[in-house]
Amino acid sequence: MSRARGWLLSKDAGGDAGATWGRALVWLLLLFAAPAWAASEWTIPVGESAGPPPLDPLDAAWTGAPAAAVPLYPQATAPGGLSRAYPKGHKSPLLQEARVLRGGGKLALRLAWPDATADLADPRATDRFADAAAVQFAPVDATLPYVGMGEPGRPVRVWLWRAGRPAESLTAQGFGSLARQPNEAVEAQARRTATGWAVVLRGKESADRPAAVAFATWDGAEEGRAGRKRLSAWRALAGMEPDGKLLEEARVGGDPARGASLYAEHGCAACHTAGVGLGPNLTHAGGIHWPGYLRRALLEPTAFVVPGYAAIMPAPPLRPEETDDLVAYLLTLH
Amino acid sequence: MSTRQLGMVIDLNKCIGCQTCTLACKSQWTDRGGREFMYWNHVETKPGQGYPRRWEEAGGGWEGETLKPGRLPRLAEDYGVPADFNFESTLFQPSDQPLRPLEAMRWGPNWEEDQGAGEFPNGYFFYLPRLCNHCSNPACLAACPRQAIYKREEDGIVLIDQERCRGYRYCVAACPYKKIYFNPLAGKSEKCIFCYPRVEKGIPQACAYQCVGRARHVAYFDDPEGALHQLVNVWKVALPLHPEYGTQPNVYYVPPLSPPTFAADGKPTGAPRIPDDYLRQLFGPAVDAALDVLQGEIAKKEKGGESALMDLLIAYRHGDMFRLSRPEGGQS
Repeated sequence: MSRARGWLLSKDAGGDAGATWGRALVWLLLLFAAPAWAASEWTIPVGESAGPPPLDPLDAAWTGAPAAAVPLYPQATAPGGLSRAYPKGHKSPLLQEARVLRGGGKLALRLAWPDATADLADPRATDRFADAAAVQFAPVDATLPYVGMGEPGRPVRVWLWRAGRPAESLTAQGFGSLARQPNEAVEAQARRTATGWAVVLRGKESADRPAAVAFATWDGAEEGRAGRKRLSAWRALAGMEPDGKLLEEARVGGDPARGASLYAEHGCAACHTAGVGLGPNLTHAGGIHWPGYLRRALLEPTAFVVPGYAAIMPAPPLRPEETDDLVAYLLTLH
Repeated sequence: MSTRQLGMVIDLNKCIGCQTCTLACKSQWTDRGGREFMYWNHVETKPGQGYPRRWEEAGGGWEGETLKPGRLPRLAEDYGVPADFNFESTLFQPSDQPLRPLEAMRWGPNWEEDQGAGEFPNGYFFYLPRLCNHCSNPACLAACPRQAIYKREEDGIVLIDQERCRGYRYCVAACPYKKIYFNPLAGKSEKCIFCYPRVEKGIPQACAYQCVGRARHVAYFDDPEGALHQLVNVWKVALPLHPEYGTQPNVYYVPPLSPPTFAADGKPTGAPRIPDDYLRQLFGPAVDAALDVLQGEIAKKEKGGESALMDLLIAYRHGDMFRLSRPEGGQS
């Protein structure tokens, strides 16, 4: 069953009025208008454009591009994150609409998300922060790196837009390692919409074609910067990954209910609980982690340790089907 | 902690609030590129809210091993806008308008100059020059999630790597002295660099070298003849500002003495105009002993006696106030 679809139906249960239902309806219509995105919650469709995709988010060419609805969750793993699960005034995770177009040697992403106030970098804002959005690219590799800015030796590329500043092309290999990518130009154009921002980020389609993307937004109104952000899980770029191996990782056949019992049985919560701090808080684990990453974290817990945590987790003694059950359970944690 | 630590002692009994240090710094480092509102060095009048406004209430510093939360100062309200003036219409055209800022100013680096506290005839104030303290336990360095701030091994100068800084401002909030400034044009945070390009050539910091009152001494702590060791460790008359913030500053102050208050009958009392309690708030409990030593040594000198401490503080030769030579065999 599609996690995203289930979430769509439940998101505003007991909601506050027509506005939220209206929004749900828009998304529902979107769902039918662009059936491609429903194919898998772990992919993102890529449209072809005759020439370079337009930089203007309001350009008509974007209406025809396939859309994906991507939920974003608060960063709660590294210090300096967000404690509020949903943005102010929301009763569900921040939902970003992402459209991808390629053509003329360029790759462009159009991101649209709700944000009630436009917070811009301005020459007087010593105490205020600008709204921002980023796209993170992972190269084709054995599996996808940690979604939190990659891993040492397994870099991710980042395109960053900050309201009122030029777009930046960056690279990172873990928390705090963001650095300029000098030879790669990226452009951005932003527009205010009725509910928030629509931003296009466009750059050269690089030789090391990305296999997956993840998204993040920062809200100036909640002092967003650094790890004070909302982020999505990795999504494979449809058709851009050569051999389909990635999507195999996303297929999880396990039973979440059995996984929940295993989670209790192995005492995972003793460390993986907010406030305990011995292992990353898993409140939003299913929202931000790629299934393959969760599998690796269970089978080889020390292959990658989230910075700030000690490498103390033993590989739990699990039969292969139990690993699948546990992954299936973790994916229900939003 | 660095291998060596360069420090500064500012003698508040000699500071006349002329702001020559402020201007020396500004014209060297902060008169351009989004830094116009910044004063890496400034002189504020105490008691007062200071610059940025109410910095002592803005948080930051350490509570044991934990960083205390701090708040970010606002440009117009807490720093003051670097206003342009109507020079064109008043000075270059016939006009009877007065010279005025084009935008109403609400605060500035010496907004409360000479205001102080107390009632006539017992009003009091003194000047407090402030700059980055190049702390031994810098809260700014600890707060940066990108390790963009570092403390140099060879002299303990604390610097922000402008290549690494991404303008997150955790350092601005963490510094209890509010001596890190966010440059909104550059999108990065900046601060006093202790004039390291000058120091590396053996030239004192602009603020210290230009001080007309000979109020600033510069030396390494491990230099036994240097003013830092002498005034801080030997004589114990130079004290850090707000030691309770826990950052272990390396800029020290000789606390201000003041004339006695007048009683209702117009006769001087024995009590100093600047209340001891106020000085204790600023410099900690060691201020009482420091003031006693100062008074004792002044008395010796007044009687025609010798005082090595007074000779050091008087600074007969300007050049003696700065001991920047690096140790033999050390880094050049």
